[in-house]
Amino acid sequence: MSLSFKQQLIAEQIRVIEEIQGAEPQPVVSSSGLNFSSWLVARNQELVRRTPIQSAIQFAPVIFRRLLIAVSVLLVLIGAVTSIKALGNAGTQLNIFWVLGVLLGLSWLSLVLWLATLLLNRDHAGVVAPLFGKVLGRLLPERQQPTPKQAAGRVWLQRLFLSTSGFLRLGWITHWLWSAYLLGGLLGLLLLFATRQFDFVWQSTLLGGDSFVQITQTLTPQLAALGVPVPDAQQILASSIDQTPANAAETRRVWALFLLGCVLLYGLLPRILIGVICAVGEWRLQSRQTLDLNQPYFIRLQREFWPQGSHGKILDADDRPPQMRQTLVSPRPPPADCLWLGLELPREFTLPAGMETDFINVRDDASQRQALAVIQHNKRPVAVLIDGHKAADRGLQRIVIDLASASGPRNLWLVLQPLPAEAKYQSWLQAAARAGLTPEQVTSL
Amino acid sequence: MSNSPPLPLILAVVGHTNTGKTSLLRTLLRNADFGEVRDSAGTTRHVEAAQLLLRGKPYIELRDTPGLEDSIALAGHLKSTGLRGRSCLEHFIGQAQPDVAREFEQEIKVLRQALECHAMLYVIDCREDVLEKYREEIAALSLASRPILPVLNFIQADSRQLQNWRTALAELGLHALVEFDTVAFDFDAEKRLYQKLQTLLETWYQPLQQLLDYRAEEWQQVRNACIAQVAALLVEMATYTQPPGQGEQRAKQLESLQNTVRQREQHCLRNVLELLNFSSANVQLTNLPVQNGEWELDLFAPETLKKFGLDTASAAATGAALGAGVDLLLAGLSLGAASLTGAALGTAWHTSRRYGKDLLARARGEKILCVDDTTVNVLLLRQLSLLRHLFRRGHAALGPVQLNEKEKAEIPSGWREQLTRARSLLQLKVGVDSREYKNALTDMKQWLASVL
Repeated sequence: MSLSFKQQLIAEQIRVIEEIQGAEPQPVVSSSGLNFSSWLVARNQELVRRTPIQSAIQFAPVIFRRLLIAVSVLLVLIGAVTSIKALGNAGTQLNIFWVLGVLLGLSWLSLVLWLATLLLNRDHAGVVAPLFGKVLGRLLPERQQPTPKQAAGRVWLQRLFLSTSGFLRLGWITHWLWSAYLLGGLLGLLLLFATRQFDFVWQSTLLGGDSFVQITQTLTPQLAALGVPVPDAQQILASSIDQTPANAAETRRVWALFLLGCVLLYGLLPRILIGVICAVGEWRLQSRQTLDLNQPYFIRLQREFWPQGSHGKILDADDRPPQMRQTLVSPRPPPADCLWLGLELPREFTLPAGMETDFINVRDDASQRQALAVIQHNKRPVAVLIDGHKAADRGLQRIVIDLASASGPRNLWLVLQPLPAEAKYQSWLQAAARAGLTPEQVTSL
Repeated sequence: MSNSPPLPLILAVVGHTNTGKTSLLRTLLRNADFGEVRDSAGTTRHVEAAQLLLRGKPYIELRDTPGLEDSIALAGHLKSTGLRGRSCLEHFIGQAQPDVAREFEQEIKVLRQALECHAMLYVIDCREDVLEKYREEIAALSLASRPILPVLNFIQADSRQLQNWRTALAELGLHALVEFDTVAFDFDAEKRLYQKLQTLLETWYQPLQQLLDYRAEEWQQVRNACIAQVAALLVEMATYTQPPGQGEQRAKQLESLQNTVRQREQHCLRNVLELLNFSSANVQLTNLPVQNGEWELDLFAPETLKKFGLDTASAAATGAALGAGVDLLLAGLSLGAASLTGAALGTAWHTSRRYGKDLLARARGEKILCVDDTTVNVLLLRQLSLLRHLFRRGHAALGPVQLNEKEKAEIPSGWREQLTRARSLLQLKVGVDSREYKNALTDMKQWLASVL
């Protein structure tokens, strides 16, 4: 199961909260029958439901929502006041195309700027939304020792605003805020047109009436398609500043609706449309994001609640008493005329300097029998050369016991080469003790 | 009708004493605390089981057994029963005289598991000569009529006997075997172990494949996570800056810079050890100055530079690998370029926001502190050595793992480009959340993965 963006966001927020709290994470829900992702989602949902973690997770989105609402309301008001101020001071005659320029020009100019900056540097496109992002950044700054709320908020900011989909979020915020501004303007216009009477005129020193007819008719088909009454060529020409239209009231109504329609269709709707495109793009980019499960926190969670192995369980206990440690004593060297034997000496074993190589190396049953025969035949003290890297197991102990029985315990020396570390030395002392040898008879050259 | 095999698959880990049976379990379980490991005979005297789990479900039960110590005498007793196969073992276990049962208590424990399990992993210390006693052990275990997979351990220490062992095992009819060093870990060897089990235990082919896939994925995840930690350290340190200062304040800032680098490196070490399931206490690396999970040799000590074969003279010139003062604007970015970049970003306001402090510092003749190249190089070499050590370290390792002397002192090719790339983030003045930073981090991870 792959995690949705929202689930990833909550998982990241809970991660930072639990890392700050430093407490051992709790499993919360059973992991049986689930894969890790499903279990993680279930665990997080349960944590959000049961613990105060929810308030920390909600901290930043709540700030964001409040800020967005506050700024939107402010912009609606600014838009309304701007349009009322712009038109209200103009007297009873309104220059149609001037008003259109004032109402839509700024929005279109900022839209072009937004697109241009988007192409140049998408992470800093526009002015309004980056400013909005900066305010959020100030409200949720990076801290050395953040509280759970601050840390979760910071994760929220990073995942939504500073990730690969962040520019699209800033994009839809930009267009949302412009929409609020334009809506305010539209409402202001409605209010003015509903309460005051304006004469709509156009005037120009350079352009003739045909140009205004052409401009107006370029804008009207889309409005007409929406059922908005639009001025015809006669009404346009009759609205020149130096003329009086035949049906003044109808012309005023048509021009007012034309202006409102233009603000709606060429101002508000493109903004809403681009905003929706940005939001859909953001959703699509977010859905491609993955949670980095390689972070130590997630690997730790996986190990704790999805262990790779169980703990050891004793199936067949050892009830023998522990072996007594043999006391260490100064070893005695073997006599000079002793008979040398080897005990499982490896083929590459380095013999002590000056030592003959033609001794029997007890490696199997046959060589053991041969060694016992030689001991019984020679009646000399016996020194058994042993690889000091080897520990004495019971098989080797049995051989030592057999050799000691043949030579007599007082006539057998175990020569460890090189002298092993304590644990292995002890194992040879034990073997010697079982064979009736004294610790002094375990020696080294 | 479902014909899925019973789970868990029970594997008895058997072998002569002190051949690394418990070590094999530790490494397969990734658990350095399982059982007791000592370089001495008869360390494990009981049978202990642990399970390998996949999504909480046991797939394999590994049973650690005591070592077989006296197989030649055991063979005599088994022959004396006059029976063959499993009934021979069952008779010996059930009917042995009390003194014989006492003497062969360990062997009886092993034989009991041989009868109960689905298969056996016969662990061989391949540094040892092939002796008669080992042949007798295999002969006794074969009576249980269960598949036996020989595991040749300690191949890294001494592989001279390897061919002799292969020949001897083939003579005993054991043609499928696996080389698996429990100390010098190699995931491919672990993979081969499961694959060999698949051929021996056809009924369990599918569950073994699932477990194998899961563990391969898990190993890759841990490796990537470790590499990500090191990449983050290197990029963070290559782009870390401190504001300019003068006189006493500057000295304090240098000290603070050093401490930041030390702490960040320590943090990385802790995370890497944890990710690989090594406790700080049981990792002793002689070739690396790591003791009890901490870097022993200070990053800024001249010995550290020498150890990695870096030019100590050049380091001394910059204050023995202190943070170097870098004038960011002189480090490749002219005032004109800054303005151009600012213009490209849309507004001159950006220029003042991004470079204003640098411009001011430059006018005052102050330099912004950042971590110098020598220090970043040492960080790189230490981290590469650490990862190489730990990726090859089995959970049974008690002693140090030797490091390839030549390998450790060489800065791998491609590092200069990576460092330059990371340093360019300093000039761009972008934060850790920026696309440029993330791209540099991704590149660094990929480069480290290719180097390792």
